[in-house]
Amino acid sequence: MTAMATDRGTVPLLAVRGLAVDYVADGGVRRALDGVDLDVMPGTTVALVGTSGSGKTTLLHAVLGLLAADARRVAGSIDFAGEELTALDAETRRQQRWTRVGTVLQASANAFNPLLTLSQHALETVAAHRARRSRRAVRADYAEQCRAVGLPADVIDRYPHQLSGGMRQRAAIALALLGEPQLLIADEPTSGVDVVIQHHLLSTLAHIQRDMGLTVLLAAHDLAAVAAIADEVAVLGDGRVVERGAMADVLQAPEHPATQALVAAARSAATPPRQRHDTVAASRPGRSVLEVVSVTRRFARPRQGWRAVPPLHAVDDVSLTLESGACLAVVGESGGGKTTLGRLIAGLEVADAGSVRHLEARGDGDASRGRMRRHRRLGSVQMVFQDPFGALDPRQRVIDAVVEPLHVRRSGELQDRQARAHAMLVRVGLNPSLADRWPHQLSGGQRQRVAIARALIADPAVVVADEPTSMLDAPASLEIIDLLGALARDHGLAVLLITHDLALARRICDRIAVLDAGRIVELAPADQLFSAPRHPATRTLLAALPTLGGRPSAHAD
Amino acid sequence: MGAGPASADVTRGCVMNPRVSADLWRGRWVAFSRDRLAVSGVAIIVAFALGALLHPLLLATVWDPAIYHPVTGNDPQPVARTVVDTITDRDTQIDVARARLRHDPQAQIGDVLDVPRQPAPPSLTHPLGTDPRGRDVLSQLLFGARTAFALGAVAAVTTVVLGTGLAAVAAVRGGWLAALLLRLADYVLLLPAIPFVIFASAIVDVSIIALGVVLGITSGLGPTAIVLHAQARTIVVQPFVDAARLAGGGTWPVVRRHVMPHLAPVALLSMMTTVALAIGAEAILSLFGLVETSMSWGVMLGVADAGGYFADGIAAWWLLVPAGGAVTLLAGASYLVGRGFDTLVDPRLRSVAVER
Amino acid sequence: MWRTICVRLVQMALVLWLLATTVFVVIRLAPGDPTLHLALDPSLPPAARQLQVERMGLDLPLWGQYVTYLGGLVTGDLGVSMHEYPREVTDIIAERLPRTVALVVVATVAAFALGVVVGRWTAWRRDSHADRTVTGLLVFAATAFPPWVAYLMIWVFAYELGWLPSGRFLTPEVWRDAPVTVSSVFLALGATAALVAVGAVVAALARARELATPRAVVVISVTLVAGVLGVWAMHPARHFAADLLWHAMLPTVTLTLLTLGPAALLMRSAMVTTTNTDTVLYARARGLGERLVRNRHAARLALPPVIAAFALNLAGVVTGSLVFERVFSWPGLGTTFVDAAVAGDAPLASGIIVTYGVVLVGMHLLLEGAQWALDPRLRTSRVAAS
Repeated sequence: MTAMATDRGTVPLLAVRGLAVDYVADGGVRRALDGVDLDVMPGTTVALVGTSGSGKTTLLHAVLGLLAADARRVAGSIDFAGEELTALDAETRRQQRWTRVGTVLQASANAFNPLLTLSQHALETVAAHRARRSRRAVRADYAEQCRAVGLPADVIDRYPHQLSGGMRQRAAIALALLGEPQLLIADEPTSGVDVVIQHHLLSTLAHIQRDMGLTVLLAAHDLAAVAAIADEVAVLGDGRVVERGAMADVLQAPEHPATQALVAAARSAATPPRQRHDTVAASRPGRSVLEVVSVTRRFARPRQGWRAVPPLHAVDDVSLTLESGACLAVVGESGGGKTTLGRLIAGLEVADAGSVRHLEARGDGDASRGRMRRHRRLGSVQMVFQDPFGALDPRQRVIDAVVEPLHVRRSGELQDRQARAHAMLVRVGLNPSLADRWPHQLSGGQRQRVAIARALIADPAVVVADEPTSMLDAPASLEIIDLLGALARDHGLAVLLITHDLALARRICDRIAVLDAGRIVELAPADQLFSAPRHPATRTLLAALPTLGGRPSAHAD
Repeated sequence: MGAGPASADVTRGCVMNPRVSADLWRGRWVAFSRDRLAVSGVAIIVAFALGALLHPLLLATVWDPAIYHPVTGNDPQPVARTVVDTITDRDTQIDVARARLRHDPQAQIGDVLDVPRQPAPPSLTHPLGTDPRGRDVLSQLLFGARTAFALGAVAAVTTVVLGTGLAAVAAVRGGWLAALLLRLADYVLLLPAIPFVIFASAIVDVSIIALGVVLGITSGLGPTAIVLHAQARTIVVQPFVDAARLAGGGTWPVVRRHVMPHLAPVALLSMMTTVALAIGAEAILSLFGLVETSMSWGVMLGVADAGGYFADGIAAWWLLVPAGGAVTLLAGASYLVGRGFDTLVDPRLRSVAVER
Repeated sequence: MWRTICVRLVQMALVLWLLATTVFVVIRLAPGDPTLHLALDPSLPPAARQLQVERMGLDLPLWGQYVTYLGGLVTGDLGVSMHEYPREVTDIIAERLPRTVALVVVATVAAFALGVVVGRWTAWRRDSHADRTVTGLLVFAATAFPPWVAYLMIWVFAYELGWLPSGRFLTPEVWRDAPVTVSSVFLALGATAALVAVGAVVAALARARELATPRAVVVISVTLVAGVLGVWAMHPARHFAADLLWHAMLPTVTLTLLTLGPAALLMRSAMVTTTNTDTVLYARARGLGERLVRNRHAARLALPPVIAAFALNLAGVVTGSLVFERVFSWPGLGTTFVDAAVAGDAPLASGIIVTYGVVLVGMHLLLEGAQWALDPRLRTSRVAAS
């Protein structure tokens, strides 16, 4: 390590000192960055970690010179390769972008212009910096870079919407590399893609960094994801760098509370606790409450000209049983039919074949449209949705959202309903004083708790949780998962957890089903699945689990 | 508002500081009231509404209906004028041909006639002058506001009631019914609206109410239904609607509690646009005498046009400016208010502190 | 793709059939004897009147008349005008429609081209003083009562300044004993404009592809324009063409001014939203110049709604042109329609309404085609090689 550090030099490529940025909105001023110090040594990867809203994006934009119109740099300096960036004029800074500082935006962002092909993006970028390059040369170079990041060369004539999210990120990395930058800035490059693709993308980035001796500044909200590829880490909290140091040291001995929370979340993601579910499974043998028998759901696909395209089997002949007091996880890559299965069980979709049997209710039988409606009216299956922002009607206060199922079902006395709703808020760990808040005044984790409270108040036998944590910070998502586990344990609820993250599934679930292309390819107790995976799809998911061992690949050479 | 990433930061800011926006609707109102153009639009509409309400009061109290009635009133205001061959002074002379035709067949050059002054320029008795038939322009203007409001209201209500119903049903039910309803909206959109109204009114007599209904259907319904349907579709797929369906109850409570409230701002926007369209259309039709309206701003302009006063430019400005200005102002105010709603409806334009 | 086109064509045919039926029903709804209502002179001798009634098929039962009417529509036979007896309705429409379309197309194209530039400019300077001032002016232009503005323009440019004729299509003195017909000169002018427009579009596409105007394109387009102008300058009909253009000037400019407001406001509001997108951020992060970021990214992403509005506006103004044509005494389809409707000339009025329907439907089809061509998300399949 020390030898490499001298190799890389002791003068930082990027040095930020005392940077403070304000946002001016509606007459008020909000400080987004408050005296940030950051050093990025040449040839290293530095992870910038923090929860959403900690100022990561603002910091990266300040380095790029692309602060939003309502943002003001009020203090501080940004030194890049010996030049003071804040003193440069706009044109010089423009020329630096791409040629010296490459950028990769968030995967969920629509960064590419949907009206242009990838090669047109490359051509316009090259044309903005180097006048004398032929079309053909630029196209050939870009195709070469695409190959280097693992894309087929013919991808450059595609439009962005024709690529998957992971492929678009690779194309963006290739486009950044085309400019031969000294520094590559990546702002949460894997947010919004599933774990397997995240794993592949980050290892590609690590390879390129090593091969080209690139310097990378990588923002992330999830320490586990970047732990393996970053040399150093800077933890941002409320606009300040609260801790920084070598990745291994920070993982070993986090000092600041914010860092400790991030590290704890990362640890449990990498090595889930294994003693817990044994006790649960032993103490309470569940009874079967819901049975899914050979359910199939097809979606018609648009015709190609006159030819009909065979329908997509989103869910294909799936059978499983849910038991009270236990969690069953359905894991798989995105597009594997997990969400459709959850909606079928909840009665929000109608199956083309097969049945969903409610073993404790009268309305069991085939999953036809009429029966679906009746099931919904019974409320025996409730759902917790992925998007905490869309899960609550923005025009309903918290208490109104929670009490609504009682009103609709005319359950209990009017005064009693409010009291029950308050009690339910307490049960999901919310302060009852939040009852009169509007959804937009809550954090993502709080919203998911409200959604859980609303699901539970209908007194369901089954709760389907569809990726309930994928849009939350790492610490918040652990809390939500643990809450679901506790509710299953303490209230005899059957929980179906839909996720792409095996570590989360293992934390609370006794059994795990792996869904691939609409079929259940493996259904096994959690321990068995981890220790002896049988199907390749399971092995892929396991390989994508983050490791917290610092940076093995960097040590290898 | 800042770029996308910055707004994520601000969302967090809201969480930290609940006082930023205690109430969603109050937040919206604050944003709306900050839009100076929209607020001036509201002010203009309120001013016209007050004028429309004032008119019957004035006729009942200080204004003698025989003089001030917008349609049948007449104030001759005789002025002595010399009959001449070519006019050198408009105020004291009259052209011999015109004198013989309109006042006295035996008139000779050099005679002095008592000629009614029509149109008369503004005076104390007629603050906006009189029209070519001696009727008070201010009275007509205020009465015209009534016509405009009646027409706009009928057209807007027609559009919005039909459009919202059509859109909500199509979005929630889906299937063949949605396809049929949407094709219907397409058809209405493809109807040549104004020619159709002219054609219909040339054959059947069209009252102001019927005209409102027809304009509401032909010019408002198509776009309103399509826009509202698109909006309803984005709401129907939200998880909170699924959650409401899982809570039990039928389709209607879900539509009423969770879909309709979200359509309201867009519906208001459509209403305001339809009002502007209807007022403009009526004015054009009346101006050319293509529909039968007793008195409206369009009729006022039509009377001026028939008398050839448009070619005089500003010479007879009181015939052109009040009526034309009123149409422009009220239609424009409706447009501005609608645009203000639009700013609130489109979350990307909304001030960041108000909502996510 | 072909399937979509066929489905669309069938749908549009259905819309036209519904429109024709509505028109038929409205005519029949009219109270009283249709033969009287249809402006047949009541003083006509009964025998002549009977002959007319039979020729127009009014003695048939209602469904028979309906079938005859629809059959006529399909074969392009719209009957004989009563107001301009005995000219064929199709003949009248063929003469007047190009006049209206030419006026409207030139004005709308000019207004939207200008509107895109102005809207782009104000959106890029959102909330500056310049933006507020220009937007205020645009709002006024967009909401001003159209006939009012038209009369104002006539008063200023025709009466006060005397630069331009107050309206009308041509100067009769110039055209006395003219060796060419009005329509042929007019159509030749239209063809010239179309040629130049096609050249401009080709040049714009070439520029968009190469990020700079290729020299060959400049040479070819300059030669083309110079050649066409040269031919006109030599041609003996140039005086007549100049007379027509001179008369068309005021209505065209007025219509352009009135369309400019909505076009620019729409472009501004569409672009205000695209300016804050990640695409624009990414374009800047790649070091593109501000001009390129604005024109190639923010503005191009804002174009789809503007193009939709352009097509709909074009159709709307063609059908709504009667206001202009009345004010400027322009003998186009709108004037003809109003005269026919007022005179109760049912064959001519209904024929024009159906023509309007065809124009609207055609514009919608063109719009869909344009959107399909301009947006790769509609044009190419989503299949990802993942």
